[in-house]
Amino acid sequence: MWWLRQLDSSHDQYHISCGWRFPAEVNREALLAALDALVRRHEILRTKFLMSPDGAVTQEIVDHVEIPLVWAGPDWQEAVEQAAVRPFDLARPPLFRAVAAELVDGPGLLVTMHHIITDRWSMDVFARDLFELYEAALTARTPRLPGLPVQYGDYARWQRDFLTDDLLRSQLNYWTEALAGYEPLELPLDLPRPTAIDAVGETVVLELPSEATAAMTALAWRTRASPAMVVSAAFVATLRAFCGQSDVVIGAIVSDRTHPDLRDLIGFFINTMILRVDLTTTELTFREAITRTRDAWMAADAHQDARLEQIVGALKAGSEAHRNPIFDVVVNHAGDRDDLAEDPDAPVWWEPDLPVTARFDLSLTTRIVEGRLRATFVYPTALFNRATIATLADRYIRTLEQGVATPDALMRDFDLLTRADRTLLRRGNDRTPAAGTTVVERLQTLAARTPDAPAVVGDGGPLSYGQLNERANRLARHLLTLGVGPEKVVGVCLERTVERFVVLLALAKCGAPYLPVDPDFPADRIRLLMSDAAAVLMIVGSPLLARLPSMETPVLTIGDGSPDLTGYATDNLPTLPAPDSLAYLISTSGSTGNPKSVAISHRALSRLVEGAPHYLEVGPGSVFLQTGPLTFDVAVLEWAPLAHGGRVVVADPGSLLDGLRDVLREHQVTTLKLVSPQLDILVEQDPHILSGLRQLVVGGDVVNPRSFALVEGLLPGCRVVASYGPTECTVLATVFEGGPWSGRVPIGRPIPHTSAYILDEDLQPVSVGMRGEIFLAGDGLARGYHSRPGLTAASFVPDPFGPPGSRMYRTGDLGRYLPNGAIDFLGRTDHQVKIRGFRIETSEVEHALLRHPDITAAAVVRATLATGPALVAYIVAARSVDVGALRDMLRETLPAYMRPDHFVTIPRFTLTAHNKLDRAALPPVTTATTRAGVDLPPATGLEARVVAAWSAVLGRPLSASDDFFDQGGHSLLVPRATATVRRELGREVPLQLMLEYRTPASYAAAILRESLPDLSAASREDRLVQRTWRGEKLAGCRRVDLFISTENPLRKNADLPLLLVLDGSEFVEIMRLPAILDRLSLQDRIPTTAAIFLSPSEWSTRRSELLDDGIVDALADELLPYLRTWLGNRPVGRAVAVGASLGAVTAIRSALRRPDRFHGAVAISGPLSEHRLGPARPDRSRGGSRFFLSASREEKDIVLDDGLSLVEATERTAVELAADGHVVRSAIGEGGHTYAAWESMLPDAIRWSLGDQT
Amino acid sequence: MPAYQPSVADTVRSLVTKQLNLNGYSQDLRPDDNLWSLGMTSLTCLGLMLSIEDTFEIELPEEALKEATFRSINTISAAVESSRK
Repeated sequence: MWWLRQLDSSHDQYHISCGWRFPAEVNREALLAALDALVRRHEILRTKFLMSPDGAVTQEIVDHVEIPLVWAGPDWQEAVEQAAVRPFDLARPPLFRAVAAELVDGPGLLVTMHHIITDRWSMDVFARDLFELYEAALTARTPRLPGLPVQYGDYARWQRDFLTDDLLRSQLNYWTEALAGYEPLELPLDLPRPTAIDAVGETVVLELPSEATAAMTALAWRTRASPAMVVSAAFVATLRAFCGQSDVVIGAIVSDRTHPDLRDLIGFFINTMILRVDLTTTELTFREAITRTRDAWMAADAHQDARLEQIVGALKAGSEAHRNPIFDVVVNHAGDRDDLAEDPDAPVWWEPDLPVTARFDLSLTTRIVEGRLRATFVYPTALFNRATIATLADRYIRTLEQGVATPDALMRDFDLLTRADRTLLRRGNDRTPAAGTTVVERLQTLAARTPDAPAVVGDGGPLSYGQLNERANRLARHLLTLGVGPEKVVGVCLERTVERFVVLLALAKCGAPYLPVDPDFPADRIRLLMSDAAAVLMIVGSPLLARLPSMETPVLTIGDGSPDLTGYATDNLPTLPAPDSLAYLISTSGSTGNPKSVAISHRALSRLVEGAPHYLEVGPGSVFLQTGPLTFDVAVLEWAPLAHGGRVVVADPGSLLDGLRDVLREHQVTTLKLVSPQLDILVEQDPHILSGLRQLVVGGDVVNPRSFALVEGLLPGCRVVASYGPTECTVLATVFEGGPWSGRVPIGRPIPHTSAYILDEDLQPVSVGMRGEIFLAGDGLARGYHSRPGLTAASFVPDPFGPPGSRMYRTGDLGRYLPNGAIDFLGRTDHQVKIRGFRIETSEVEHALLRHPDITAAAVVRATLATGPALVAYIVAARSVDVGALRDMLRETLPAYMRPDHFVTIPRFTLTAHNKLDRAALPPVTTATTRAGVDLPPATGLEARVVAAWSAVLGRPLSASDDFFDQGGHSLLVPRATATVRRELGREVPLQLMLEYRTPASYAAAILRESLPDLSAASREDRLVQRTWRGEKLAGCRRVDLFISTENPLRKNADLPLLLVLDGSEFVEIMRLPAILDRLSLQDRIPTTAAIFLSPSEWSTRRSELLDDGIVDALADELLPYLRTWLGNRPVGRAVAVGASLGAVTAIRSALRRPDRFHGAVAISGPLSEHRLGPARPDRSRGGSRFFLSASREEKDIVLDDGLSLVEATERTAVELAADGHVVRSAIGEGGHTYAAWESMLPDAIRWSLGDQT
Repeated sequence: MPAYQPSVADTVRSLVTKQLNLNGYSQDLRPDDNLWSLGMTSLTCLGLMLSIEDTFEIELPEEALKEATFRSINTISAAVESSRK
């Protein structure tokens, strides 16, 4: 019983309830007597189940059990529900309970049993026996029941004895072979699978009309199949459509009463067989579907002695949390034998409304009731919306109805679309052609009508429509002299300045297509793109020239006054580009190992631009910003505002959008286009920066639902729109304009002049809710892949639904229609993956890997790790491959987004039965496979904090020398990691810093460098000098930094106070304090000071050193004199010791134990009560030192060894020091145990402790 | 001497006993016992049907493929006899 694996909690998922009515009033004594007799008759009703620690279960029969019968009366609802859901203790029989209720029209009895002692047939046996025993008790006669030659225990014993090792082995061999290469059904869930099991279910019940039911039974006979097989065949066919998978694996729950003597027993006689039905064929009839289901069924039946958990073990399946092993969908047909419940004397059912539990993701239970097949679909509400299952159920009934009527018709010709389906499919698409007015024409019209309206603003701008047009006209004339013209590709590598629009418009006016190139592309890739496109020219923004590789294509540099265009006329060119000439090429990842370029015509571009105002705010008064590079086809969307009188902002908000806030504010952006990962970054940081927008468009197939919902709620005045579109369909194909959604953000409906079809593998439209491939048609389609006729023919296929000769684009994307007509994106058909918004053909990466001489095989997959999606390369290598060198090699051919995040070396690849890579067999990514460097301990406090912060974000330990991005980090995690560091430091740290300094060590060092005061400011007397100092009393060399703050002329002649600052606790690190002191003294908020900062000799031993009894004397007798010497003959004033955290203890000790040297101490956030502070022999007479003690409110949660909170310890120490005659100030601030809190406390602390009264 | 030829009914009885797992059954199987009442399911009936067709090298006609045909040893034997003619 595989259930047993899950029975630990005696979860109510495994209860079965059944109710019956009594013909007349119930006699209580007779009912009790009957139940008692029933328990005596069936040993299973008084059996207890004991689970041993190794998981084995033993059964034990007890002689006597209490009969758990509740008399609930007319208010029975709660008692009935309680009985149904209250857990059973398996060790305490009976494992059933009964509730007698007074219904409106007579008495009823509900019985709930644990599944371990019953099944559905048993419930009928239970009813028959109980009612017979009740009648017998009423009339004091002998009950007429068949004898029970065996009991359930005998059956369990048979099973064990029967299944010899040899039999088991041969059966497991069968299953391993039968299930080779199977893929679990991937149901398109409406809602993300919850992390905890939630079995709350609902049902959808439909009936097959009686004629069809009769036809079904007759067809079963004729096809030499059972009714169970026929209903299952229709279910498998429905699932095939629902999941878009032809090879379907489900479970079939079957009765396992293998011997007539078992017929009258109550007990768990159930087996769940694995049914693998492969419906892959183009000519599938229902008869064929039945035959295949029957064959699978008979084979499974012949091998059902191997229990499911043994098969699962043999297959090593079932590792995914909260999913059933091998299958999540089951079918269960009752009534394949004589039905006791159909006996004329059988008691009448009573079916009270009880909570439904869904043990599987989807189950179908069928049973013939009054001549009609009743199909009950049970599903968990945590996974599906009711509408989805209702659609599925409807399709199931239609399939079955048409299947039994015309078993020899092709199933693909079945009429499975409802009228609603048809309307939906027709209504969503727009087959009208676009007008074909080119962007050039539109822009020239605007330039003539509103020449002074701003067209492009931002770097190098603004440009009005008139200026843009005139400059483009001049440049176009120049380009024509260079041989630029229609169909002649021109590479462009341009900065984000307004100049780029002049260039692109000029090229459009010449009728020449542009091909954008990123200067960060590997040199080989750039050369390949240019030669592949037979580019006649490369136009480069002058600052980028140095970054481009040498190439054969002639180069034209733009910028810094070149080229000289003064001689060219500014009026429009006499000709316009032909609508069918090429407008641009965009290169994308290609599956053959090389990039491919999508070729878009002006007509396709017009289709985008023409319809844009329907869903995009791009008219006069709108300000549009998109944040992608020119190589991303989203940039093409910038033509839409330019064609409709809007304004385009050109700006670089940084790859992590740090600058977005300023750009949005400066230019009053109204319409912003982002891709989903960028939205995630903003949500992570501060989504409020979007609050001025009128429209936000979020692109990408899979929009993060959490982020989308958040901005929808946050921006009430803003249209939040999701968009979808492959490059091959000119930027956009569908948009989702908001409205109700759950689980996933839909990709919406086709944009104007665009049709979207969702088709099955026979290219037939699927009905609502069914999974299919998304095809796109209309004027937006690309001409194809530039100079790749084969690839073009494979992807752009004849459109059977459009006008003759029209084409449709096979996207490779999977989707389905939601009941409201919006399209729901469901993943990919192939191995193209999308990571952080980039589309990647994994085979291109594999090809690149295979160019390494030692790599013999490679597979690249998208994996979801704890840190989010990542690209993982599995390699088989002849000898060990140096990952660092491999990364360097890939850098030469692949752009950054295509380089794998992780490399895993494995001995060989496992293949499936179809000789395909068995992806399920790939080992998970572990840190061990990618960890390279030596684990050095952090060298400074700041480094340790960075290590801790980054490790927390990555979800695993990092060392100071580990590269964040090699360890699974990616750009989406940068904001989170930076935010943690910011909180610690209490100030801004640019996000960009992590991209430049990728290890905690280098990152911390960079922050340190940046935090030092500006030493070059010669006009001030600022000084920071570093030396190495070796004390006599402390081992090791230390770095000491001396900082003398700005002289205040008024105090020029005063003695210079000294601060001795102890780093090494986790204090402000030497880093921050000089900079803070510098600022404070400049603002005249603290007296001029000379501060010496002491670093520990070794960061790891700082704790023991700070608590060492010798340190105070070392500071007093060695370091202070050293400082005086260093300062030359300057008169010095008071000396104060400063420390935070553990350093606070040392600071107070210094002042208490060596009052001859130290006049006071600043102690911030110290565990003061954990350590003895004063000298061993306190001298009460020596009061009068100044102590500044502080902690922050949040530190009341830090409990010290003596049980005091850090705040209490600080307050108590202050009281004690004051009692000893010292001058004490204690302050409780905000901010926790952080740099930020300490920093904010410092000005007060230093000024006060130096005795400054101001 | 001609080899012993078991009767159709005997062969059917042994096939029924095997398919319905009746070995060691506590009661005797009579020729007109209702097999459905003995716990025959659609699946065991299907197995029985296929084994009968195999053993007698016949294909039962479609009109014989119904519940009543497989009610008892007698009805099955009758169907076999008529399709052998």
